[in-house]
Amino acid sequence: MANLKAQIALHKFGLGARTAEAELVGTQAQNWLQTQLTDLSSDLDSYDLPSSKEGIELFFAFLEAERAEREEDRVTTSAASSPKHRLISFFSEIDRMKRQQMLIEDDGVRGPSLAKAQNIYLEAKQNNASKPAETKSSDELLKDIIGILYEDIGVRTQHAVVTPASFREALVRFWSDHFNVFANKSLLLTACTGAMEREAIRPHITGKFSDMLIAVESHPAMLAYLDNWFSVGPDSWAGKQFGLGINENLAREILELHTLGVDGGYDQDDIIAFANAITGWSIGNPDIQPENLGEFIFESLIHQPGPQTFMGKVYLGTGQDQGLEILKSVANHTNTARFIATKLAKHFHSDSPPESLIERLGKAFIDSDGDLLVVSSALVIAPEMWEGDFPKLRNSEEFAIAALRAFGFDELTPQQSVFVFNAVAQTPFSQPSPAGWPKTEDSWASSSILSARINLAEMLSGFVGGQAPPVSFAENILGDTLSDHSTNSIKGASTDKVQGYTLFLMTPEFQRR
Amino acid sequence: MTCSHRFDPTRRGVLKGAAGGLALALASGNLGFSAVPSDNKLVVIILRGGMDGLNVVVPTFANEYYAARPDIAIAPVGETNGALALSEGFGLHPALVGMAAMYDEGQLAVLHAASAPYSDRSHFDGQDVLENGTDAATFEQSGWLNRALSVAPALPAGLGIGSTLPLILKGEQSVPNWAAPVLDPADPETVSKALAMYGPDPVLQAALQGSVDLTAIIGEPGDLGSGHEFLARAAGKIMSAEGGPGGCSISFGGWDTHANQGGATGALAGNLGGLDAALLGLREEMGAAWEQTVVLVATEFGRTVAQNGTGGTDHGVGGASFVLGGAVKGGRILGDWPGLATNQLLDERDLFPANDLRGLFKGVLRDHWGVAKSDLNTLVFPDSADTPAMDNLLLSSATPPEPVPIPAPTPLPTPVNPKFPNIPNLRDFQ
Repeated sequence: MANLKAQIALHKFGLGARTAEAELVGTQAQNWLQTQLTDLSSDLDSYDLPSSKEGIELFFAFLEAERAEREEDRVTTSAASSPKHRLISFFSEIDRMKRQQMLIEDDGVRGPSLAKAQNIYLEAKQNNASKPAETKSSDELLKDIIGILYEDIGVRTQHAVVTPASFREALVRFWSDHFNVFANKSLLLTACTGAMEREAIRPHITGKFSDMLIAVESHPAMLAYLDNWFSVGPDSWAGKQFGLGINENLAREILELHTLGVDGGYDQDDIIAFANAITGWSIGNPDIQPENLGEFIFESLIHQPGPQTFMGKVYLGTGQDQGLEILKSVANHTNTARFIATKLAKHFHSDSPPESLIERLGKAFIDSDGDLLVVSSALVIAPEMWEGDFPKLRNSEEFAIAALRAFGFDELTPQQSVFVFNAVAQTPFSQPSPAGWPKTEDSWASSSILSARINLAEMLSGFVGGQAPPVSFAENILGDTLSDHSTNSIKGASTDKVQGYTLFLMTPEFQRR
Repeated sequence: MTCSHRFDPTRRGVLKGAAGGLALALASGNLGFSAVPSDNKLVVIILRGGMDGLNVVVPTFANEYYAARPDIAIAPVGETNGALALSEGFGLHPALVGMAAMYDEGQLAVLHAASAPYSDRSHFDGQDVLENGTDAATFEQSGWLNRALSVAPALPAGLGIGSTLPLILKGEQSVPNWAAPVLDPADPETVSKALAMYGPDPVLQAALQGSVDLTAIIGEPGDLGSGHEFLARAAGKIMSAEGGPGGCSISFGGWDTHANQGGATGALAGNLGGLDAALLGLREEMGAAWEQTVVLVATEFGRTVAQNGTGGTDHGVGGASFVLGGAVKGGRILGDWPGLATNQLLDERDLFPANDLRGLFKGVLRDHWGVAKSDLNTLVFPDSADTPAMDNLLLSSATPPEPVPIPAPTPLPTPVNPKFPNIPNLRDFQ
């Protein structure tokens, strides 16, 4: 049974076993997991990647360079001009960004294929590195910005492949998907989506949920993705001057997708009240608060004044605090606890988790005021997790990472990472919907996905050299969970090792966790 | 193509037999298609990126067009590299030779100055609205084509082309998808061993078997051309197989022409050549089933009337769309033309969206699939009773009792989420 528990820890909680890792876990499976929750020594710490502020500064530099190349004038050019002119300039800039936003496309499929941008990334690395930003053309700056996203995907992937604490990385991916942002909705997002995971998700995966929530919802990437940075209170100074109104996107998705859940006890009036409360949560830009370029700002000129009634309670708070108070109230709400608990159980256990597991996790959330260390611990010790079944179909990113871990592909370049994920239709940060990636078997067990996986499995297997026979390799990675039927199937492979390794990656035991 | 272009109900039985060669390939596996196949085929082609409608269906009569586009305009019919004649003074881009022939044969109609009920010029919101069938980018997770599959009396099955199911096909109906392999296909022997290995896991077995079956229908991908044509031919092969799906969506990218889009030749012309080849390829692959096929071609927005500073065009609103196929009453320019004078434009810069694409979609769904009016107005296109189905689009369409009055330009719906104002409003404050 010890072996089974190690397999559960490695595959159901973690991102899949590396060779001989099961022996390392040994009989101390729960300890191995618990240690990861408190020991941060293996965390990704030296990012050496641009902060969101640096990324967004590049984006605004891109806009200026492009304008100069097109010989276009700004509506107003001086940031020191009157508030009215600064706001006019800001809104016309937003409009200009929309009209000129390039769609970075895949072959006919909505959403970007970063694989297409491989050469762009390489050019950016080779030619652009030493040139100062202010001397670069818009094209060079565009390449730099795409390069940031590439580097982010590369770094997070390589870390996931080599880390001895893959449960932590699994938690990062769970929360990053919970707060999904689409990096190619706009170039501003390309510049800072990876940074949001580094700045707002990773520091909080074993901290308070409310802290993660506030960090995410006030992050420039989320404010841009869900359009809040130009949402205007109708009775604010700018609202009255220009007849502008709110954009509900962020408020709605915070309630529906990030906290209470779709039937979480709020109605349309609550969404509007919340959207009013967070007007003014924006991003420092050349027109508004340029001294905070690329950072979260609160801009009172666009904030809806006055009290807001949200879910029966009146919030008098002024300025930024009003939205913050509402955010805190939903962070620890019982419906949020239930929503998060259900999502965790569906992710780590199965598409149809036992009610007892959901209740256990929900109770841990409520009792600890949303302490994710306590909640994650509750998941580790939950008996439902240790019953020895592996029904959850890995999504494509999980499948690819598990394969890379099993084979020990430790030296991945960013473009190799992107290539691998693109081949199985799940490139990080390229999911357009704020609901994140599909979660369930009915999405991932599709014809095109299974076909893509076996093609990738065969390609990766072709690069495995001089290793153990496929059967003993499979037994090392999957332990006693490997069924006799699957063992015999791998044994039935031709003498060509590639076929044996391919079948190992395609076994139901490896496809599922 | 030697087949007749007139609908003949007696041909239906013959057509079923004609597709029998593919029946064996399909009978071997479970594709998840409906047990009650629909004979009428509908293909929705989405041009992602915002196709420049004014250079595709050219208003050669409009001086404003030539004034606004000194470097990229398409010359009038009859001039060197000029447009291909349609009617009422409109001409097709010279790269669209096949589509022009379809127009002449009465198999293709144009709906210009068209848009889904959205005018805020974002790719993603625009595509959302085009596909979710509502009047707002609500991140609605189901598409109008998926909902139509469930209420069309024949219960046609769906098919996605591409590795990700597009929003238009998402929803309660389970829709399989086929994608061109990114990597080299795995050794067939390895695949068949994996299938045997999946005996105890029927879910994985069915998925992998589906891929094997679709691959068998399509054959060697090299036979199908490349780019847009490859995807269209793959769709045609699968749909025209015995018991093949009745509703399909395909996406073509590359329309986001901000810079150096060219005129009669150049980047846009190249992409249009691909579209033309795709539609001809689709017709060829559909074979006899083309007689019962309707293809809708639409994009999330048109582009600015004026060229920009980099020889391209930026995001606009009203665009060009097409309805074509053997079942279409073509050779016509449909809908209303709002004009190109400055005061006729939206926000003084974009072609006014005089025609709601939902009206076109509804007309096709009603006459081709028999979707009930009540379903069209509520379930398929929620709250859309104010946008009636277009009449008389298909050869099989019931003739309206009276001549259809030309509809007045449809006013844009008030956005659910008013965002920021248009530039002309802002100018008032300066």
